[in-house]
Amino acid sequence: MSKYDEHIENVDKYLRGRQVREFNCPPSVDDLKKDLPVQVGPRSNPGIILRSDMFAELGNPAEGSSGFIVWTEDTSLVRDGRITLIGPDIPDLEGASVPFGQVLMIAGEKLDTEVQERIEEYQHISDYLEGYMVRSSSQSIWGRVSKDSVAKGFNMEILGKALMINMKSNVPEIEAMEVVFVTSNKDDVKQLGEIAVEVDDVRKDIIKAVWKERGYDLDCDLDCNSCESKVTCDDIRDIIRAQKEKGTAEIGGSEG
Amino acid sequence: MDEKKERSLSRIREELAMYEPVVELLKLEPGEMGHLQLPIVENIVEQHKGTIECVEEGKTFLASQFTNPVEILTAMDVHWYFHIQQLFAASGSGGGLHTDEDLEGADKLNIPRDCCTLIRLGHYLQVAGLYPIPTAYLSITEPCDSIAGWHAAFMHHPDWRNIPVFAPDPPYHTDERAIDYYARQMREMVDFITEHTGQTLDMDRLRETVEETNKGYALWMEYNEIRRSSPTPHSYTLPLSCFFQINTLGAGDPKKTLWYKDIVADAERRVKENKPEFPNQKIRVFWYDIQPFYFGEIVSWLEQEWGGVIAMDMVSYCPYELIDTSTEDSMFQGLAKRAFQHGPMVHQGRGLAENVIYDITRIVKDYKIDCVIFPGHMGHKDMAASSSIMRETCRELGVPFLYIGLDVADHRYTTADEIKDRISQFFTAMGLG
Repeated sequence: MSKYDEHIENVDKYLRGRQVREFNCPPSVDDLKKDLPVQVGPRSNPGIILRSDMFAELGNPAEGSSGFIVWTEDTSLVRDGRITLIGPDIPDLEGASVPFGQVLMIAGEKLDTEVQERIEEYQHISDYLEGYMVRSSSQSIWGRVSKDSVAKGFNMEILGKALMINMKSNVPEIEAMEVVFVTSNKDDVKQLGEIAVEVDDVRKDIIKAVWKERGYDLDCDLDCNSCESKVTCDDIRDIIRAQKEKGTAEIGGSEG
Repeated sequence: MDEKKERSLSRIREELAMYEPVVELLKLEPGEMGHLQLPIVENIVEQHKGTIECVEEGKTFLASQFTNPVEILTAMDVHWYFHIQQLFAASGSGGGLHTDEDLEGADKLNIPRDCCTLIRLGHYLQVAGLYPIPTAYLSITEPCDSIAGWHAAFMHHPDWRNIPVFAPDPPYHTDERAIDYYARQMREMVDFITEHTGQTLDMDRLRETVEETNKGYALWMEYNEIRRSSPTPHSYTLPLSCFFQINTLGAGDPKKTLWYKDIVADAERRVKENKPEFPNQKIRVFWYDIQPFYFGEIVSWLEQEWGGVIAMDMVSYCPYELIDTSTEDSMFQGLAKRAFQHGPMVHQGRGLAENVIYDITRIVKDYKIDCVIFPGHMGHKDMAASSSIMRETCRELGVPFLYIGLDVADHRYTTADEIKDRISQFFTAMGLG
């Protein structure tokens, strides 16, 4: 069982009972690229969409945003080419700022923990899709769609296809990929965020382990029980406790 | 006023004498960039005048550090000066009159030479009596071990040992418990300020202030996105001013928000018209550390000689979040996160090291970076510990990486010419020039 199988099941549970729209896309990158109304590929956009050129905004922190990637070696868990949308599609969002959820589920028998960082690179579409930008300085997915691209036919299906093309072209170990988008409301995105928190814990452990294999520690072992200074800290705590009992300890971090 | 107080104001008066004519000049001859430069200089002038007034008239005022929430100080209507800003200013930012004098003074203090020069200079300014002595001091104990040491040594100086000090205790982790812990510290800071200045906190005023700084942060983040454009709209001065404008006196003043609106509007116009402040840009650099005092000399050379532009820098790329002002708790939690997780050096230096990997990966891709320069300030041992991780990340991304090894405050450690030489060799070797 892969590290994220449980979370993939949780995404399935999340989708059950919700009103969804589904798009089924071809599996191969060449077929995915056919008949796209906007350019997809490196340097397809100049990197930014100015406010005055914006048609809609996705995942502004004031509205809510949640995005994550999960992967598995078990290809039966992921429906290749499936894009699921909960909520309105881009053309219905003129001038709107809506909450946004984005889940990328990936499968391939050869996937392993080494792939984690590579797939993360491609979840933020960067300059890969004409008319779409994900803001760089936000830790969550906060996107902008341009007026021009919507006029050409940009929608969530195109965004999903672009993510699949980007991911499958750059990570050949991927055999299947499924995408979920949420634009419905804050509550739906918040519930997705609960899965995201669990996913993030697993993700962090994987990244730490991968770098550890390479000889780098990303974290410090700050467990009090294994710290050689524990005796000193215990002594200080005893002194503070004794002072408090005498009523002489000062508040918090203040001195003087 | 006694001699000691007069001396503590001497550098501030010198700076004021330097900047007041600049204000007049910019008003008379604003040129193309004057409307953006004027508020930065006016801000320094106003801050200095306020400090002088407090010292001369014996009013209460604070000294504070760059991580402490300025919104609280504004909402409590208490004057303060920004300790590190004072350090940069008093030492002659840009290579001013006193740089060598201060460095030589710091050399005589018998502090180990491998200690961060910013901290050694900080001690020197204290020993030399060049910091105005406040009613109370809001200290700092992160992001590095040296700062924690500095705090301890600083408070033992005879002039300062009786000054009431509040030193927030930043937790290592960043989970909910840690945020709540630090939020409590921020509330204790409010009590501390009230105790020593008599000023109280009006929550509605705090909300108003935070909502205004939220607007500033949102516009700053917008500006950061526009810097992704190639060519990038501005040279290095304006991007670097974004942090200082929101983190100095007057935080929450709509005038400051207006400055951010103007800088965004100017950047948008330049992108639309393809008229960058600095034309013929060829190499997009990510400068991953704070900037040396003598950065002006290096960047001007970089732009003129190589067409190199700082497309993104460490001080600008911080994961600021807008603060939820709906409740008192949410405001203090937001201020806590901004203080102990998000600020420059704090986000990168205190860790986790994972931030280094994430930031470099995002910035290189989003800002179309041609090379990453890690200046490697000698005082940033915390970041030096991550230099191999930086190199490894850059290798995986296929982007050249240069680790210089310099001292941001001391040009004698690595001279500007040596730095230029290293950069030139690097650009040539990597085929960037």
